[in-house]
Order: sequence, then C-alpha cells, then structure tokens
Amino acid sequence: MKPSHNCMLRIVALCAIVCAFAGTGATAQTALEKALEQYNAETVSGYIQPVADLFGADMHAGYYHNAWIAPSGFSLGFDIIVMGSVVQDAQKYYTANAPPGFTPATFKTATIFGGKGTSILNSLITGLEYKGSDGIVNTSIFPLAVPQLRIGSLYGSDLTLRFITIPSIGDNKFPVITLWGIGVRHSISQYIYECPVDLAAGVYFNSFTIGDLMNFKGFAVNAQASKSIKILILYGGIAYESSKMNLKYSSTDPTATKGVDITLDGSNKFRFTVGVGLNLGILKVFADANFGSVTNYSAGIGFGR
Amino acid sequence: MKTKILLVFLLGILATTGSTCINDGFLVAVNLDIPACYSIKAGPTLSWTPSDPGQPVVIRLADQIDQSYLDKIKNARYYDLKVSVMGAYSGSVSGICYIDNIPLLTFSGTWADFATPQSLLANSTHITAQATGVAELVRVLNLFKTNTAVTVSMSSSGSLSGQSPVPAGLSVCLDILAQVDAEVK
Repeated sequence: MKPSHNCMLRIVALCAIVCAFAGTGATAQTALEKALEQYNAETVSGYIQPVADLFGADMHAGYYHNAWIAPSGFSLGFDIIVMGSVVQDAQKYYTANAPPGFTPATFKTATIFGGKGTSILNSLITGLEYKGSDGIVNTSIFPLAVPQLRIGSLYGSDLTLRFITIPSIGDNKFPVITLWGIGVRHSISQYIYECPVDLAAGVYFNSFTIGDLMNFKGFAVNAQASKSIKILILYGGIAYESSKMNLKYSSTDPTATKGVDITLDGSNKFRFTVGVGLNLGILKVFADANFGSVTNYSAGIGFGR
Repeated sequence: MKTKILLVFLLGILATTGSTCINDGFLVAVNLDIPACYSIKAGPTLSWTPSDPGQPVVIRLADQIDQSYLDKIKNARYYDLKVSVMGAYSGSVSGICYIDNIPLLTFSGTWADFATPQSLLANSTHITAQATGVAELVRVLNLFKTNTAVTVSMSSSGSLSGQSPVPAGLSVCLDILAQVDAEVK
C-alpha cells in the first residue's frame, strides 16, 4: 500500500470515529419538545410541517458530486457535506385552529420558523383570549451537516454511508439530532461505448431522529450525470424522493386526546440538481443547488476517490 | 498536519450546526388546565353546599404545568369554562361554581344536558359566567406571573330535582381552560 494511501485511510478512520461519537447521549427534554407537547394532534401539524419539508429536503442532499464510478478495485472516500434548505416566507406562518367554539375559528400564527405567536380575542364573549406559541428557529436557511463514507467499487457500483449525532443546540432548546443514511449507485455509462459523460443511477435511504418525539424516514432514487474537464467537474441529476416525519408524544391540551401519533409528508418529491466541483487530487471541493418544491443548497469537501 | 487541522475545524462546524439560529426569549403558550369535581352525597338530600366533604378543592396552579416553566411566566389568560356531570341521574340540576368563594358561574339544565360538557365558548344556554368571579379568576391568573405558590379554592353549591333519593356516584365538574406564556431564554 502506498504511503499516501495509508495516510488517507488513517484520516478517514479518524474522521469516522470522531463523527460517530461527536454527539451526546440522551438529554433532558428540550424546549422544542416541551413546546410541541402544548399542541394536540390537529394543531401541531401546521406548527411543525416546515420541519418535515426542510429536513426532508436536507437529508437527501449531497450524496454525490461525480457520476464516475470505477468498474472495479478498492476505493475509499470521505466527505463532509453542509446542506441548507431555504425557508420561504410562507413557511413562517400557518392557519391554526382556535379551540372548538372560539370566534374566529382559525387564526394566522407563527410556525416553528415564524416570529411572534398571534393572540386572538373571542369576538362574541369579552375576555376570552387564546394564543399560539412563538417561533423557535430564526433562519432563512435551515442547515444540516453530515460526514459520509464512500466505498467502492464492485461491478461499477459503490456504497455510501452517512452518520452523525449532533448535540442539543442552543442551550438545550433544540434536541439531539441523529442521522444515518445508506445509498448504492451503479455506473450506467460503463455500458455505453464512448459515452461523452459519466452516468449513474442511485437509490438512497435515510433515517433521522430529532430528540425523542420526531422520527424521519426517507428514500430517494436518482439519475446522475457528470463531465470532467481537467480539474473541473460539472455534475447534476434528477431525483424522485419521499420523506415522512412521525411525531409521537403526550399532549397537555385539555381539549383533545392526550396521545399524539401523526405522520407528516415532506413536500419535496422531485429535485433537479446542478453542481460544480474541483478535483484537486486527494482533495475535492464541490457545491450544488437543488430545485424542487424546496430549494436546497449543499457544499462540501471530500478526501480520497 | 494541515489536513488534520482542517478536519478538526470542519468537525467543529458539524457539532455546532445551527446553534446561532435558535431564538433567544421565545414565548411558549403553555396549557393551564384547572379542573375541579364536586361529589353529590347519595341519599334523600337533593342539594350540596361548599361545606360538604371534599370541598373546597384547592389547586396550586404551579402543579398544573411543567415545573421548568415556573420562573418564566410572562402572561396568563383563560379561554373557556366548562361544566359537566358524572354519573346517571334522571332529573334536573342547577347550581353555582365558586372561585375563592366568589360566584364564577351559574348552571342549570337537565342532568343529561351536562353529560356533554357545557362550554362558555360554545355559547351554552345552560351556563352563565359571573363578572365578579371572572374578575377573581383573572386576578389569580395574573398573580401567578409573580407568585408561583398561588392557589385557587374551587367550590360549588346546587340542587337536584327529579329522581329521589340521590343515587351514589354523582358529581358536578368545572374545568377552567387557561394558558400562560413561558419565556424560554
């Protein structure tokens, strides 16, 4: 084994170990989780739906930055990906249901990404007032970062694994995040004689938990293409994806059933990716934009093949 | 060595992802449920009073919410009053619910009417809020912002008409639905 290859393997191993243990273990219930418990099954969906949309889009981003896959031979790559989904203005407010019988029956208030919660007065009976909670996260891009390992190649296929535990954020306001994902892709261009671009197809599965209450599952299938011009790599693709967020907790709302167990669909179903990368030998740098019902950007650096 | 430094830097970014975008000082609208049930003694007497056994029901508001919110309460409000009954009785019921010995609401109707909770919000014709009691409720809720040891004394008087003697297992329940805003920093 060449010395440089040996060094690369050590770096990859170091990164994998550090990332796997970067997070903390179980923590006390966070501010977000306690805030959610004030909502019932019907009212929580509007407040938290943007998380389902944005995390759903984040977790499928950054899986590839080159469609070239070696036909055979051992290869190892390690990437650190930072991704972010754009929070649209429409995702900062939602139409909430007031308690049964309240007039007005609905009102516009903050989602988790919104500002101040709206307070409403009952228009028929003086003195009755109801209010929604404030938003918790103030950002225009909802970020996520994850390390991933790419192992190849067997019959023009490689395997991608990602895993991270991110500790509780903001002085125990946002819970521990744990994400893992796995993907397999296969070279298509190897079957096409003198194909001018590299082509591949991939399938990916992701699992994602936020604290004890929120659990995401998602999968994506995509078609990838790339073209290398000296050190420049142009890449892109199209994908179909699906993500679901399950929320399970006990509500403190006295007007509704205590047990909440609902599943929200992430809004992103299709994505179109365009990206550019630099191949600097052992080091790769790349960035891409993803367009769908959620706009997402990802960027990162990679080491190895 | 430079690569390792770069990796450590990137891992630091990973570990702190998003930490700067959490709002500082957001308000959580916390449910504050104040329930009280009053048993009606079985037997020939078709009435009950605040001096009956089990009354008054004293509720410490702090016990009704998550303890971590106690020193963070900024606002308080109520949004509904509900009266319901438990047990089977054939006849009518009427009475008064008190808060700190002040009439909060009066209620009247058949026992069956109250098998479904009668709500102020639903404009029930079977319950009527009393201004002095509502003022006391608002005073207590406002006091909760600065005094987490505050309690409310809930009691009731009333009478039944119809079936006699009174069967066992009857009770009248009042539920005050309120919210407090807890500021999370």
